[in-house]
Amino acid sequence: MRRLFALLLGISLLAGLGQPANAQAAQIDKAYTYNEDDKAVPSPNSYQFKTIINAQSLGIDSFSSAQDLFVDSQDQIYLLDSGKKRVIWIDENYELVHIIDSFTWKDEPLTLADGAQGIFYREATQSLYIADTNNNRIIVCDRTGAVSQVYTKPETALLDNGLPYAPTKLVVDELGLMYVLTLNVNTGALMIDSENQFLGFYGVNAIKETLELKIEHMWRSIMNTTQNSQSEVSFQPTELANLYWSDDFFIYAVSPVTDTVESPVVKLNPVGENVLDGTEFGDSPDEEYEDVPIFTDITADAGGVFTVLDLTSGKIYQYDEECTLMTVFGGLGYQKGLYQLPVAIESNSGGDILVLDAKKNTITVMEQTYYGEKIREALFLYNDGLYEEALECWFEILRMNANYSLAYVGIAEAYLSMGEYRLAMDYFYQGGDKDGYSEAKTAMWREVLRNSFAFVAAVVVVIMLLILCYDGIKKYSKLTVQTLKKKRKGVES
Amino acid sequence: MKRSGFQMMSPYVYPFYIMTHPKDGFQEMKMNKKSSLSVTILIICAYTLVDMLYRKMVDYDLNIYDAKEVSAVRVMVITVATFFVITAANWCWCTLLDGKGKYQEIFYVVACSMLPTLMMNVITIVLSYFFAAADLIFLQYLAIVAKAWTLLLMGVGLAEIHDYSAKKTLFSMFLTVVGIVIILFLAMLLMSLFQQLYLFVVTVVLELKYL
Repeated sequence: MRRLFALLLGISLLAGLGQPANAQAAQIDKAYTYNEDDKAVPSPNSYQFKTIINAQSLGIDSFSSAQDLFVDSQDQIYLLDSGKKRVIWIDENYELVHIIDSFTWKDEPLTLADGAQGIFYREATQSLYIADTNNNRIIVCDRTGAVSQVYTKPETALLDNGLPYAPTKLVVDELGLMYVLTLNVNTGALMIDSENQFLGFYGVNAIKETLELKIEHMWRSIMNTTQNSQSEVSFQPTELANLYWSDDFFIYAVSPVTDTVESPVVKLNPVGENVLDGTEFGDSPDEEYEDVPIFTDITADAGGVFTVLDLTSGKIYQYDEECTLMTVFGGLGYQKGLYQLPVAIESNSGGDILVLDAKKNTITVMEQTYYGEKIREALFLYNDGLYEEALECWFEILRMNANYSLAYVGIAEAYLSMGEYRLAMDYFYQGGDKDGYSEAKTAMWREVLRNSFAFVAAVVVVIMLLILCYDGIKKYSKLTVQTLKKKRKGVES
Repeated sequence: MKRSGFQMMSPYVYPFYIMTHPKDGFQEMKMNKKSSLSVTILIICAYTLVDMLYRKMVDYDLNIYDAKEVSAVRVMVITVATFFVITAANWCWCTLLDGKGKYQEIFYVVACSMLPTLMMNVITIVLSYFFAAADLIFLQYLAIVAKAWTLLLMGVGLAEIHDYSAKKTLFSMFLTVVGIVIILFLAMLLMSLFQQLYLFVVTVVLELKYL
């Protein structure tokens, strides 16, 4: 017995040793995507290096820790060069238009403090909004530097936390309402109107309901106030890191991944509710890859495709409106297309992505490859329910990347709507979509049943008749046996 | 005894008779010392095989296991170990509680009572190709029925071979569960010990290699 037990243990030990280690998710200089088993697999690049904008290419003295970037609908680029206290206006051909380095307000010069963090250009009024963080104000100026408004801390009891008012990032909506993120405020963005009236908070980060939180909640309901005030565990919402105003009246917001944040990337409707389904963004952490993403910026385009920037890994993740990961690119490094300290990301109307690096002091322009374009095209068709039209795109994508599981699902959906259920099942299987597989299987059997209804009905009727006649047959056979026996007896006797 | 067709019945058919007549079946088995080791081993082998097929072959959308990751060795070890752990725990307690069953009989009872589960697994494999995820609840009902049947057979069988009352059988089954937990705990301890030993050996070998 003991020997047998030892043998069993030995076998199970051996079985345990044979397991392959989880594939490393992060590969800095190679594009990858996640397959149906959530494993990182190689993929072609969706974006490639196009050009670089730096002080040299513009013919000016070098940037110094530039903090923010804004691209308007005419592809004009506004770069907030915080260290040099200026704004650089670059046109669509990446050439210098103007340097705004002297601001005047009421005929008096006004300077930005070192480390201004946010810039926004409002096209309706042609004005630049600059979050002058260390001067505790927001200034509004035109593109020549003439300041029209200075917004200091709005009058409200809700902001009296004893800490200075330090606006970092801001967006302005169609009505001129400002959504301002400030340091040390974790209750969402401040909504401030053009009269500097504080209207309320917007889009506070939801807190994830973890087990720890539930246990703490239970304790707090038992303990008294004194004990509660001594509790070291606190569940504060995570501060938002950045906002993006999209033209469809939604505001995207990002925050670092923490234990308590429900979703690090949210798309907020005008009421401040998140409309995205997904809550998992960035690399799926495993035992080998433990770096937690710190999302610093987000940009989106008209199709609802949004791109987020992760400071920790220097990677850029692109998702479609259903939160399906489309591509990952970038990383930390010195090469072109890799970053040292990426702080801001923007996209232009041509689908290019501009990444501002505060340490390299460059703007890197990444352009979409053929593969990326195909994926975008296919996903747009797919999300609109045009499965059959997307079929050709998906096949094209599969020719370039057989690892892209969504392509299989797309093809399966197309076959399903075309009535090719067997093929649909195969492709759903390859794409790892169990619900789709089930749907196709049901449809297949339904069709089989419909086509052979006469046969099935006949079989059912025959079986029912047999059951009905069973007793009769039994009796009859018994009778026959008895008569046979009698006859035999008769013969014997 | 009324139903003594048992005397003529082949030992390979007998488990199926027990399935539908547990009380009589196990009683006769005990009286006539008909527990057959070869049948027990056969059932365990069949169970292992069906379990493997179940993990591998249940249609994709209804399969809770990942068919690509099924390891035959692992399934084998787990199944065989499960049988041994259950029977060992029961034997340990029942020898203390004046049970009359022998180890081989306990083994036979446990194996026989696994038959409904085994058959239901086969049925599920076949049915899974005709059913979709929406009908999963039906398959789950079948599985529950099979498991209840298995438990019932095990209870009746153990009561018969140990000559226990119903209450004592329930008590002994509860103790068996406790015993299983203890055995697993000890096994885990042993396992980590083996692992440390293994690491030690590896370290020594490495040290020697790069001396």
